[in-house]
Amino acid sequence: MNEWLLTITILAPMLAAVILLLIPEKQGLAIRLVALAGAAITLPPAILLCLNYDRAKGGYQFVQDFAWVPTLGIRYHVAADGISVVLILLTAVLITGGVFASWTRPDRTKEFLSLLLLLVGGVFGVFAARDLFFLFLFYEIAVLPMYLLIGVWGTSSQGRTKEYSAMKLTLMLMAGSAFILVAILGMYSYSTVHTFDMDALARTKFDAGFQHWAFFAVYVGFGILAGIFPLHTWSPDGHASAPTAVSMLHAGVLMKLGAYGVLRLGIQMLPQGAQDWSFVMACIATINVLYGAISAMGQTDLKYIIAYSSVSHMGMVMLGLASLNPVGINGAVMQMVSHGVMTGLFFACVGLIYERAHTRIVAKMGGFATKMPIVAVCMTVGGLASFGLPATSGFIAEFLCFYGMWLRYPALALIAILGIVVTAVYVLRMMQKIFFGQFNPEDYHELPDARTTERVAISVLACCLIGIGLYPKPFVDLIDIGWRTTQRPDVIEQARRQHVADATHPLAALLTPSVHAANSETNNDRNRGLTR
Amino acid sequence: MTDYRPLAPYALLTILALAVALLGTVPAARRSGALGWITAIGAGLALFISSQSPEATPWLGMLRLDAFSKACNVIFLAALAIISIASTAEEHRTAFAGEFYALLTLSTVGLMLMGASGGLLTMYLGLELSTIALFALAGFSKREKRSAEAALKLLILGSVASAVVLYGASIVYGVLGTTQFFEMSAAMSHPHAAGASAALYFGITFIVAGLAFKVAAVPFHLWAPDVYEGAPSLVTAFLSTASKAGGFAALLRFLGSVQVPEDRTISTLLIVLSAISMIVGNLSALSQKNFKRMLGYSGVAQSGYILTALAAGSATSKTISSALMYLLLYAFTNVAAFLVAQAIHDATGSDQISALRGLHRRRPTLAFCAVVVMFSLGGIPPLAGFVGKLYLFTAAWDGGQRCLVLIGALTSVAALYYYLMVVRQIYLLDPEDDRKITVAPAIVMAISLCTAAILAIGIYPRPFVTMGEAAASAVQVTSVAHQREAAPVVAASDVSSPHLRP
Repeated sequence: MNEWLLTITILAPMLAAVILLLIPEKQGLAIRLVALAGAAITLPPAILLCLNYDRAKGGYQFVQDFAWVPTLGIRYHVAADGISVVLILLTAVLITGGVFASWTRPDRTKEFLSLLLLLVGGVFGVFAARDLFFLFLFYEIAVLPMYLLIGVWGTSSQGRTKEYSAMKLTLMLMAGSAFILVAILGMYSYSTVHTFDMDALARTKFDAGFQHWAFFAVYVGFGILAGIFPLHTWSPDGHASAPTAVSMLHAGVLMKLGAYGVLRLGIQMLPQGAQDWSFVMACIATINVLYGAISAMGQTDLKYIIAYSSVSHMGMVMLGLASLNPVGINGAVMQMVSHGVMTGLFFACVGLIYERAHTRIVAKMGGFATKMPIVAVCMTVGGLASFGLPATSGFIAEFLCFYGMWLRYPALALIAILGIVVTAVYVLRMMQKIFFGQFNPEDYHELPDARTTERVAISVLACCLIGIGLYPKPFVDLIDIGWRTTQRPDVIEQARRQHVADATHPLAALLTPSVHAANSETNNDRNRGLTR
Repeated sequence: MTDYRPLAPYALLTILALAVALLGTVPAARRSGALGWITAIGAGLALFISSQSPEATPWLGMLRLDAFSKACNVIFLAALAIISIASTAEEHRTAFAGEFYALLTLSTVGLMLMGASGGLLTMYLGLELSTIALFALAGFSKREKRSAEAALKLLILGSVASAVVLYGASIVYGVLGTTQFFEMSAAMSHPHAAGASAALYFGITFIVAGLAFKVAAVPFHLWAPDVYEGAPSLVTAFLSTASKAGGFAALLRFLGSVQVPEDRTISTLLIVLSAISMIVGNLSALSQKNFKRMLGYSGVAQSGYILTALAAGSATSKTISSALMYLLLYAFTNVAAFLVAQAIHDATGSDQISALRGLHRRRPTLAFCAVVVMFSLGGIPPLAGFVGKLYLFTAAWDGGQRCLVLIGALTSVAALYYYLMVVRQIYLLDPEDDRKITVAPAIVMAISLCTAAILAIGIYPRPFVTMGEAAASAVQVTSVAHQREAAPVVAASDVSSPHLRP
């Protein structure tokens, strides 16, 4: 059963997407129920993945592996480590929330939900794939439906038409794909084995010159999706134009695909290249954090504020990754989860506010807390998490990111921390203006609070933020084990030596239970794999 | 005693062409689309026989009926069958339906000969047979000026290209003293042949240039957009897929079995052709307003993609198999694209991209198929175009053509823009006229078949890769084997030392 969990998670939404196309457009309820089933059915496997992941063993588990096109070295190979299972859980939560958020969407619901589910199937696929061909395939499936989702169902604003945003987003991300493709072909052809299998490639020793350029290609290619400066410009336009559920998924999960790609393909498979570019990555990430936050401060449109805050927060993810040490990586993945939930919550709330107030201009709002208390509470929780208030998930995530960076480039960490101050300024100002200012009854006759389904969706997301903030250990453990046990063999060896040196540090001990045991386990596994 | 059974598909199609031409004399009212179905069934039958027949090299190796020619036949016959099915919708309106199918079938026979050619003579014969039939077909809408213009353009430029091939072939023959591919290979590896290399490369370059005309590679592409636009869509569908595949089949057969020593010259030629085809094709397509013209330029770019693999070295099996697979999926994709153009033209009388506006409301199934086709042309997974392009680029990368892969990947992004502009018209914009449009069932059926094939190849490419690999090894095995056995023959005829001729 365990080995089918990943395949089920990938195929269930895609199957639902196909079934949706066969239902007549008039059957509104049936369409929504099928879509909800397709989304929610991924939740039990996702939770099972987290629970059944054997922490003592570590490494990649839930493996399913068979030849697909043998002559080209393509295998259908899916497996998940601690990082993947956490991100899969995040995706499953967000898509379920996303379907709820589009429950009342009026036009062409069938095609909308179908594309949304197809996209999510692709996202699951990327997190689970252990074969570069399938990883790339799922990546494109995850990215491309965005063109139609924004182009057809989006809204035009601030002189930017939705067609413009959709085209800009698609072309920029596809330009990224071109870089990724080149890197993948490079890895594929590097050894004489000619395989797309990532396990086999992880054993290939790439020389330093190759790693240097291949990492650059991977970083730029996936980095565009992660919103690295100055290639982030698709993100504000795209997110602001997209309908609610799409913004939720895009900022919540899709941008994480970019960071995940840099981590998996870049840092893990090309460690030497990562060392070469780490300073550049760190600098760009610092710019992202500050630039995103400062831009968000200057926006008047609520969605643009959130979109720029995503750029800023993804900068923190990249900052954690650029540190290349376990603390920073843990922080980066935690920030992916935290920001995923947080931004999903934000966009859901913004969608609700827009639906009722018919405006997204912050200056025109005020005193909404009296009319929609649940939305106000949930959005405030999200806001607090976004500048990393302790007891929210943002705290542990951002703390680890900055601490990781401190260990590598202290000066950059200090500069980046300023971003938090700016974040606090714009988030608090936004909250104050929307919810706590003077309510103007002439502009808004009726502002009902969220409906039950929506209330459930946003409260669950808000509770996740607080829950993770109060007790982050299960997630940090999963991520940490995943990260430490899926390294290339040579890197594990190096890390172990370093770890012995680091072990005196209190935080290292706190964060890394039983790493030695896990390491030796994977090494045994690997040896067994080789002899087999 | 030569085994003539493998020739059955060729004979069958020739008889079919004559029979259909005769049946065309029956009044249109009484045959109601039967000719198209007869042609389609005949093509299917020929495909079946071709796949079952044993391999042979009849007539002193003039024809090579092996896995490669079988793989090529799949492409040509599939295109013929699908176009014939779609043409039944037009049959009652066409004045010379019998001739239409007869010419289409004869052109296919020519293409099959190109795929099966064992020497320059057979290749040229096939080239002429297929191209001359297409001259007439391009001008089939006799009352339309653009169609006549297309026919004339194809006739003049096509004749020049044929002459160029023939000129190149005559030089090669003059230098090497043979027209058979495997003997040429042996003659070239002969030590005395080295002195004649300049003339030899001159000849080979001419042959490649003539074939580059057939596949519409830049700078031999200028005819393509005009002819694609002017010719009837059903003919363009054939011209842009099967005919292009024929050109590539000949190129692959020629470059694959003739192992040109130190072929830096030839590979440089192919690299340049490939790079400028991708760049010029994709950039020119960006500004097109006419759907068929845009597809014409996109076809130029697609030829460029295929040429990346060829430039990587025609000797590797990946080159041949990836090119064949791409040609097969491209046949399905582009035939479907031109059938969409045909359907839209029937319904709205316009070939402009804007005529597709709001298709998702006016005809949802057609809109879905059209979007699948556009995404496949743009190389989006999980559709066939993605697998095919990845395979081509893998072959090119393996052969060391990394710059070409980079150009290909980046121009693909530009290409995506114009494909998405079509998708935008179909899905994003609402129609000015909300009424449903009618599309002939035959055309819908043909497009659906193509769409199914695009999805099938994209999701499970394994059988097609296997077919390509078999074809590739067929080309190479014969070349290697014949090199060995042919070497002494050439040595014996060395008296006339070909390279000494002026």
